[in-house]
Amino acid sequence: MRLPVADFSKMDASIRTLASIYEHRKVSPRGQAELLWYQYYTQHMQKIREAWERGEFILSMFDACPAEIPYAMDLPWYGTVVYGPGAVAVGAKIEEATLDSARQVGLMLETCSGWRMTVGMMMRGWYPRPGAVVSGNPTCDTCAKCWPLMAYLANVPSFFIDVPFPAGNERNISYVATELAELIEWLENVSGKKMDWDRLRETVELGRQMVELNREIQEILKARPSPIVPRMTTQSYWFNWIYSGTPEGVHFLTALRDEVKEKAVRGASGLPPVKGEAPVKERFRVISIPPVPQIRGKTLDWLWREYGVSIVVSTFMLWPDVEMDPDKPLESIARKYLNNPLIRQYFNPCESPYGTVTATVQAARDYEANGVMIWGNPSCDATSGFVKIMRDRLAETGVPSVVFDHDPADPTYTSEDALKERMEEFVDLLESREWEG
Amino acid sequence: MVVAGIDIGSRIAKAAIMEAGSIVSYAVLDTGLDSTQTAMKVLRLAASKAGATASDIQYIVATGYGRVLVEFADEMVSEIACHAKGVNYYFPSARTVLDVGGQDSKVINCDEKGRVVSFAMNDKCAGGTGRFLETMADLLQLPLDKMSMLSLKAAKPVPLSSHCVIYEKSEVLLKLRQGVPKYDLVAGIYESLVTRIMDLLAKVSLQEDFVFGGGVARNIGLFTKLQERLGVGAKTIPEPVIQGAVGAAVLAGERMREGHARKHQKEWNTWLTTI
Amino acid sequence: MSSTLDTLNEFREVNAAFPYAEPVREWKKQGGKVIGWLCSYVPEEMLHAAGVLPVRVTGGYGELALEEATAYLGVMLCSFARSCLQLAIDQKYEFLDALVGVATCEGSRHLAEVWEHYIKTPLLDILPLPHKMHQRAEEFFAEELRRFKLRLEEFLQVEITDSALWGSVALYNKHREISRQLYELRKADYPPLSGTEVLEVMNASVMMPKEQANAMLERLLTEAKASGRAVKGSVRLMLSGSILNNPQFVAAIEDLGGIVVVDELCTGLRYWCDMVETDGHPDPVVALARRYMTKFPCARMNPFSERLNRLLPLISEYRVEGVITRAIRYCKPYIQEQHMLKTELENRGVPVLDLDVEYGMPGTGQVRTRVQAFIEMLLERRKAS
Repeated sequence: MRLPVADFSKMDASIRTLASIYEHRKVSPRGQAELLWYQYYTQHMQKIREAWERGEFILSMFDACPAEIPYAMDLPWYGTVVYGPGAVAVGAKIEEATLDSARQVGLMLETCSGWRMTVGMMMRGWYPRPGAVVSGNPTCDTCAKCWPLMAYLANVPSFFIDVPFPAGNERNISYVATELAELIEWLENVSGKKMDWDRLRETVELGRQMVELNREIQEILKARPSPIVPRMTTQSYWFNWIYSGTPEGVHFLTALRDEVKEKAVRGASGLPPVKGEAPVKERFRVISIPPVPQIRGKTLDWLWREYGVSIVVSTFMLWPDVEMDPDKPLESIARKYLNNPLIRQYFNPCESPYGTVTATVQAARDYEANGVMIWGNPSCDATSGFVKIMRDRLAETGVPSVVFDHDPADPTYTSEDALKERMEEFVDLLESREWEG
Repeated sequence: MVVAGIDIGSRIAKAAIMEAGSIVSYAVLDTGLDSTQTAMKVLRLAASKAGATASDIQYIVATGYGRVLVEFADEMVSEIACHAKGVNYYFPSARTVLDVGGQDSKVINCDEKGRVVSFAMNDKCAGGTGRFLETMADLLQLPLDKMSMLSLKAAKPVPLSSHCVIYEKSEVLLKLRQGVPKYDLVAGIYESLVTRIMDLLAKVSLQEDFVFGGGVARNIGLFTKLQERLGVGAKTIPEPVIQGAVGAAVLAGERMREGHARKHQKEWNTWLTTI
Repeated sequence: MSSTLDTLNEFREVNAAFPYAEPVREWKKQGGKVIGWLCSYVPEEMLHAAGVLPVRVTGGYGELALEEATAYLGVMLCSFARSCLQLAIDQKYEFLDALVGVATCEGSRHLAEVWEHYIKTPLLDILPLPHKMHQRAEEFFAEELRRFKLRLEEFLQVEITDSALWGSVALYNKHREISRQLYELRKADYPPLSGTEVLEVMNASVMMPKEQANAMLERLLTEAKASGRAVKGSVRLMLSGSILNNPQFVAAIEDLGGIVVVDELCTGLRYWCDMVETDGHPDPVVALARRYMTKFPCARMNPFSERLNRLLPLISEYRVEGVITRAIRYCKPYIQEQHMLKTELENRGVPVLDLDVEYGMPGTGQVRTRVQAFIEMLLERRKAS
């Protein structure tokens, strides 16, 4: 199978859309954080475009892998998810074609559409052909197989960061730190670039600041009404991936913290009112697991305006305290990687102290949530494996939950109407509980 | 030399008669309850159309789901091999054959002699088969051919969750209640079927000439959509329904030439005296 | 086919009472403890050295109705995991005193978690398992095995001595050696045993004490050699892919004229094919860790070349003419490696039939049609060359 080397039509479309949203928001601002988000998101893609034109070595990396490493090596890289399925949300319309391509290599419904799209992007040449592919087994089995498959299809070398389950196993820190050391050596060989160790230590310090900012934000989010826009629960989460340990990351999170803080102090809700209308009311506080799919941002705005249902937090925003020591950069980066809320929650037994069920039950209490919405992507084994336990545990503590039969990246999987109908049923449930007191 | 091929499908039984290397006649009957009896009937019918009698037939190959029940057949061959041979009879240049049947669908790569090089079949799900269209036609209370034409008129196909027939049924009902125009819905249904067929086609390498066969081949809506989506033109064979039986007859002819002896002469003789 | 062998019938009798087989019942009657293991990455030797009977936990031999299990694990989670859970829900595994899981794949890990939550059998561990086959992974796994050993000792209130471990290693190595000899017979033009029969034997030998299994296997070997039995098949096939227990599935293939001469299954060749090295290891735990981390890998390991490099030699050794790869729904690692495997095999001129089936499924109409067409295709190929 011969793949096209680079077709930038889709990336250019995404960049154009992002730029026009950015211009639009500049005129009618909804907050500094969102502006920065669009600016840096565009920049992530633009940099690749430029690096390609300069003929530089480009790295394709699963977004959740430690971004500190390519940054400190000054290696242009793109996050395969943010730039792939993420592009659907910014209007690049890739879903049908990429899913068709993925079929040719046997990836059907049982493989999460997000990952199928990344494989399809590579097959279509919509990712510029990388010099190498880096991935790891977190967050899931599919992840562990799809990136090596992409490398196989593109006929480029790949590196696999091995993380034995469970992420919370203390022995993992040194095991993964050694993996990262090997990754650096490998990258130096394949790319010809050298690691700048001083810069790596800086990323550790910046990463530490990011964790702290995240922790401040999650405290502020306990305010009533929720001071955050639903889609920002995803946007900030992505940002933590692709700008991990960078000045941009700190910049964005500082802006987000200031913004939610200001709103919380004022008692304003995260979702701005429609011009000339009364402020948006919060009747029900709901937690989202995983973060609100980017393609459903508008639907959740609708849910809030129409029924007063706010998204208070996504459990993937809940960072633990992470010990970060610039003098032990690899160990610190490994620790942060394994404590990224997604990996920490999904890659530990679900009922262990770090696990997703424990985290969610605790969050429901901390954020005084009226309910939990679970975006049940049927092809996601990670979710399928804990949904029943989670719902039973939540029910024991009196918190109702709903599962949406949904696909995080393929908007055609569940129609907007069907989703809204399901949301209205959930509102009915929340209302009936309200009456019962 | 008169030989025959029989294709006992789950609903229709087909027979084709070949004489001196050419298909000279064929017949089609409902399968009914007794597959062997039906096989004999359809064989007699086909033979009489060729101006012959069943006793003239010297070798019989059976295929289709009911193939194991045709006790007088000299050989049983899979539908896959027979369809490839059948298409090859009409189009020796065919390299990819798609067969969308009522119960299952298959796609075959074959060589210039109609030999199977690789193939794939749909899985348990009815989504990629003619049965899916029938279910949906029932739901919309439209005759199949009307539905096929309607699909071509859609301005904006309604996306359906390409997930499961059961889910799609309830989704279609919901849309109907919401007043979505039938032709947009029908187009959505066709899109969904095409997606399922694409799943299947992805399993082999699509090479030209591409031939579209099987009972659903005459469905103009499906045929059009599929060519659009693939960006590849397709041919259809004149009588797609009997393509399997034709292939079986071609194989029977080959076996005769190779000098194979009849394997079930005794059973055949017994059956010749019945009905 | 020639007459059946007496020892073969004995193996079949063991399978008849699956999963609570007669030897397991007998063991319990003597007051012994039984621990179930969920995946072939669990070092059974350690359980054996602790004095318990290790028994493999599998799903039903046929296709079960999985509605209940699906409510716990989700419709697209591996059908093997759901089939196992269904048996547990149906109280078929009540005889187990404990269960050991491995984080091989999400199916295996989530099954263990759900089992722990809803089924009362205690879960001893979900063993961490690195994905790469390198030295550091062996060291990591050895540490985990030491921890697991303590856990086991505490649970059973026994001490697992090094000499007991070496004893168990010797016993299991013997099993591997006899299994190898059994597979050796399949290299003949007309092997004395069909693929179906071999699967029956393999199924039974994880449901009884290894001492007993070894004795029976040795008898089978002698009997098979002496019998002059010759199973004829039109084409020589390899069966590869996700876990398989249902002999009827293999029987369907062989009824259509093929003969399965070798497999790449964790219930077959991959179960026995690597010895624990006993030379030069002062520590049996290190030796065990090494064996399990370097053995013929499951598709969940990385990179794919490790698996491919083990699989390819089997094609020539067993003179395989076609490979049937069978991925169960929805076994992600096998499904997602399928493209690479198929490409690599076809590039080497080995035809592949890929089947996508539910775990436990026998060879039904559609599967039969495909297998028949595949066999026809292989015969045509042979004629052409």
